[in-house]
Amino acid sequence: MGQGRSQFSEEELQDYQDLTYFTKKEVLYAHQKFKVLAPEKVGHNKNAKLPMSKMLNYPELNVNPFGDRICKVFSSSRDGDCTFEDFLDMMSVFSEAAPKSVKAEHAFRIFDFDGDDMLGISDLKQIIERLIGKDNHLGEQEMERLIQNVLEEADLDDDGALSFAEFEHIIDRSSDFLNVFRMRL
Amino acid sequence: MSEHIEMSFRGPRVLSAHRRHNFGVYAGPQTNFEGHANKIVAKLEEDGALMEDTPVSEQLRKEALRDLPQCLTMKRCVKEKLTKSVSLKSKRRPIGFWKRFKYKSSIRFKKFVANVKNFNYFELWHGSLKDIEGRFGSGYASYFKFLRWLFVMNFFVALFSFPLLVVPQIIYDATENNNSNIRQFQASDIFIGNGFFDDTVLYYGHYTNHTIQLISFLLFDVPVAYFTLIVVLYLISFVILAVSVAQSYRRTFIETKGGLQNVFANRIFCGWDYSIATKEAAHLKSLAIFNELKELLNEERRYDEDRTCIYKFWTCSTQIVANILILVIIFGVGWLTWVLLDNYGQEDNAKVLITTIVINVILMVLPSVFHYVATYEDYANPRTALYITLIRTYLLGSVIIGTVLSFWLINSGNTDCWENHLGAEIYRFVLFDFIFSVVLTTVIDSAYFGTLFFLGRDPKTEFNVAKHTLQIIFNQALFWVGFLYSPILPVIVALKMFIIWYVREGCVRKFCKPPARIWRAAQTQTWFMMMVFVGILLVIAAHGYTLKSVPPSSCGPFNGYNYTYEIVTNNIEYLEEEAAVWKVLFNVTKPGGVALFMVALGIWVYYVKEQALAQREKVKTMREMLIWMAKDKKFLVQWYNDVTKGEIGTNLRDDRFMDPRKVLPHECDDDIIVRYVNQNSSKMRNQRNSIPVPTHPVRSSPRALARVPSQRKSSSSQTERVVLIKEENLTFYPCTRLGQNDGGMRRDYVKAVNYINSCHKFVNAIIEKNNSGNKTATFLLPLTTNYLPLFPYLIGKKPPKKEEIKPLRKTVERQTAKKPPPEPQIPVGDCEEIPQPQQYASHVADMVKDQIHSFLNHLHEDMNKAVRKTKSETPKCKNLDIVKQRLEELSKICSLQKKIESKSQIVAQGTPPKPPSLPPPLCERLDAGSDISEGESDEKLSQKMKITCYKESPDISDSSDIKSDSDLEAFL
Repeated sequence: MGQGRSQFSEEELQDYQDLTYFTKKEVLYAHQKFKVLAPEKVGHNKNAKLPMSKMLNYPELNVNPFGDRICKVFSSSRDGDCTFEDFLDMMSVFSEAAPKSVKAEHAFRIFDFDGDDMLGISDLKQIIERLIGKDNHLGEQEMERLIQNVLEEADLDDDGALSFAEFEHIIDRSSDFLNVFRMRL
Repeated sequence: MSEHIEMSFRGPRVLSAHRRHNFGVYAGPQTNFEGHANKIVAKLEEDGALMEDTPVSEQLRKEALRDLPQCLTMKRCVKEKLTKSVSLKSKRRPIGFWKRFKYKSSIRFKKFVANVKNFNYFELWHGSLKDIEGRFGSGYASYFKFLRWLFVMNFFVALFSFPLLVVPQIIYDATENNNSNIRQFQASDIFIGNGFFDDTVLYYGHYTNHTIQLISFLLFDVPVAYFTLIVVLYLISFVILAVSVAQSYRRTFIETKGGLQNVFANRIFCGWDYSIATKEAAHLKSLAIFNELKELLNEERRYDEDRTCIYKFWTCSTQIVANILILVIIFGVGWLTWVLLDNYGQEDNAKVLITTIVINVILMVLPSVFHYVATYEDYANPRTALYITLIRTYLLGSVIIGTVLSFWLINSGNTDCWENHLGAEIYRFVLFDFIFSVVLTTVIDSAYFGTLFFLGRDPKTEFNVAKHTLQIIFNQALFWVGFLYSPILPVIVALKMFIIWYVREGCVRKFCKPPARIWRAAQTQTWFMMMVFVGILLVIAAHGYTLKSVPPSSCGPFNGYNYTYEIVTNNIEYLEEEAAVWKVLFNVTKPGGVALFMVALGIWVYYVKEQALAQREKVKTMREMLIWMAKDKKFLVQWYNDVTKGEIGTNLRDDRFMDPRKVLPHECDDDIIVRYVNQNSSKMRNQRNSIPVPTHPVRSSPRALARVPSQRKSSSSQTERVVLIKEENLTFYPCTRLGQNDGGMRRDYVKAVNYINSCHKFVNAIIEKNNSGNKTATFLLPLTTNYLPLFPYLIGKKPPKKEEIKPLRKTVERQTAKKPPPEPQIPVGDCEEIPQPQQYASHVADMVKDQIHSFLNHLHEDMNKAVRKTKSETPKCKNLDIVKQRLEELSKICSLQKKIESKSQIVAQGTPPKPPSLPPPLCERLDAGSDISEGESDEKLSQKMKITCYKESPDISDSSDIKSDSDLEAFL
């Protein structure tokens, strides 16, 4: 426990334990991790707001093709800058204990680039482009066919975009999602 | 395992609270923060169960908040506000004793767990696991998690068996001073497991059959302890395994329906492994995803081409030959084991090692051979090849273990202390398995790495998850076989696994690179679990047989009994109520009792199966309806675009239903609409009378509906067929065998089709008439089209009686014959100069509003009914998840509907001062009407509503809505 304890009051820790999927100890551990991102800032103010560029130094976010999206989704100011509470929230959603529905909700937001609460064709395209990385390219036709196939599978009501219900339907049927949508603290 | 221990009482109520309550995403600046928080608080306060001043409610509150997808700062703010308001608002509702007890105990348990974790707990090997996940992805980590899980299990077995069995025996040895171990200890004994060890706590034979006195008061009956402890530990392991296999199986195969659907969507939405943390791994992952997607696309193409007959024949015959060959090999190995055991098994010197070494070499070589053979068999899917190799390897292991076990059981009669021999055999296997598959493999791997490194090639290879996992499964099976004969084995096995962890971890880090292909852990993991489970099942069966019918030898705790199980019967006979116990047992096990039980079971299974079938049919139909309705919507939008000729709806996507506010010009608000109406008043007046109005379904023309008439006998007959009409192009739509109570649904469905058709015509006509003028179309169209999806719901109403219809029709005819219709009494403001179009507009708005209101009421009612009904109907089989999911969707819709209701009320109350030129009722009506459709994706809403419309439709006898319809007719 050691040094972390001094920065948080017992009440705060209790709050964090109640509102996340973490125990107090894990919360403190998370804070240590957060501190590593910007020791000078967090040392002064435990809940300092770190800009997105700093947040992206977190190893998992750094290599994740959706790193910036994740930061934006979890940032309370919506611009990608995260406070410790935002960070804790992020880690809690990505933890093993978080239920599928919560994870699905956030995954949907991460994938919803244009924020229209639907995963449209442009969203899907962007997801695929990010997934395969900058070095690899799919031809125009291949991309089209891929998206067509995804829509064929997932778009239950044939409206050319995936609503949250449809997305959740897919996620519910995926055995891999829980294994994959996870970051160890 | 923590995912399994998810608290069970977090109901669906709390789950996905966000979508249910629709808080939206907080996006505004700081000033908005408070407001947003208040909104959430208000929503949560609506739920009575969350607002009580009890610990249970507090727990529910916490969980509801925790699952909200809001940022943590927001949650804390909301929590603070809630705790303040709780004390004010709390109403004490009586809660059942059992429920309270359940909640309380689970809360206590949770607190306890949290405290333990806080005290001193961090996941075992957390750091290494994280590192491996970060560098190699979750595929490799799955092996380590599996290893850790087995280690923990064995560790707990050791934790019980060691102090409760081994320690008393050691104490006994020390006190009785019977250190009569004749043999001297030799180093080779460690490998052979015989000699000195024969008479130690390592093996069954050493344990005494006496009752020993540990302390002056404490008597310890070794045979009873031995028997009970072993049986209980086996059973506990069995139950734990069964539960986790069932869970894992459900998660990967039932809930996901085999998990192989939605291949593309799965690859894309679950493609990235979020635990990856190094550049190299991320790069490889991207590449792997890229390749996989390409492969998928190619595969899709390849399926189009037909494979030639000869080719099919060729692969098929290859597979058959390969299977036969491999079966021969496997049973050959079994035979070889037998022969070796027969020749060397009973020796006391190093020769016994021959069997172990030969078998271990075979175990090392053959899996690679199997893998090689599988590549030649040319399976369509590499996964199939993997599974087949896995099964073959598993079979090999089982055959070997089975042979060893049966050899000793069969030879039990002519060997003294055969249990010791069998225990020693297993001990040797465990030891040599370690030497071969851990030590030797590591040496070989490092040598391979070294040579490649010096040759200047990429020395890193991929980690073979399947092979290594199978190895620990084999190890586990050995442990289960041996545990009965060697109580100290769990300690040895746990130690072995502990070492394996570090060796493998080091190997992976040093010699391995991230996988180039994606290893889908979830399914394979379930396979592995099942293998372990089958292992323990077989072993328990074998041990059961041993205890029941193999006489124990003259050494060990059970000597003196004819059969081991007699230890139970003997002890039962000591019981006081012996007579009663026996009577009950005797009666229950009579053939009659058993038969009765079987019959009951059969009936129950049949019942559940039938229910499942009915539900599946229902789900299928619902899904078809969903698609059907979507097509209807598509048609409407298409037609809207056609009619407006892209004038207004240019930004309307082809196939998405948009909010009318977005479609209309921005300033096109109510007063503008009215102005349009005013401008076109004269035209309206002329055309009004010729507009066909949506008629009530019952009264509509029979042409629009095609239905096989006389086949509908009674609503209870399940297998009747009704042919329904699909859109208006008269495609027939069969709808077979629904659940039990679906007569009403079908009927309503027919009506809905009919009604939609008439609605189409209605709106079509309005537009046709108005389109000749200018933009008047915008006035009615967005409103009406938006409500069209709601209309079908109105079919829930009871049709008016014929006496009512007739006079109405007459009046309509009369009115159309004469010119001006009688003006309805609407309180009119200062709009005298243009009375009739105003009235017309207000009337339509009125109608729409009325219908929507009744629709919402009915929907609410039905929703509750449907939820209740389906909940009680849903059988307990878990594979009906799709039904459950529909239910969840239902509840979501329910909340959406609530939201709409509240919103329309709010808007209706809070309308700004009306423009003086407007008649007040119209203004209000338009407001209410247009605001209902405002807000986030009402498309989703309407689509969902449609599902529910058809899902359950109890006959609603509410004649209040007919008024609006007949009113309208009367008006025209």
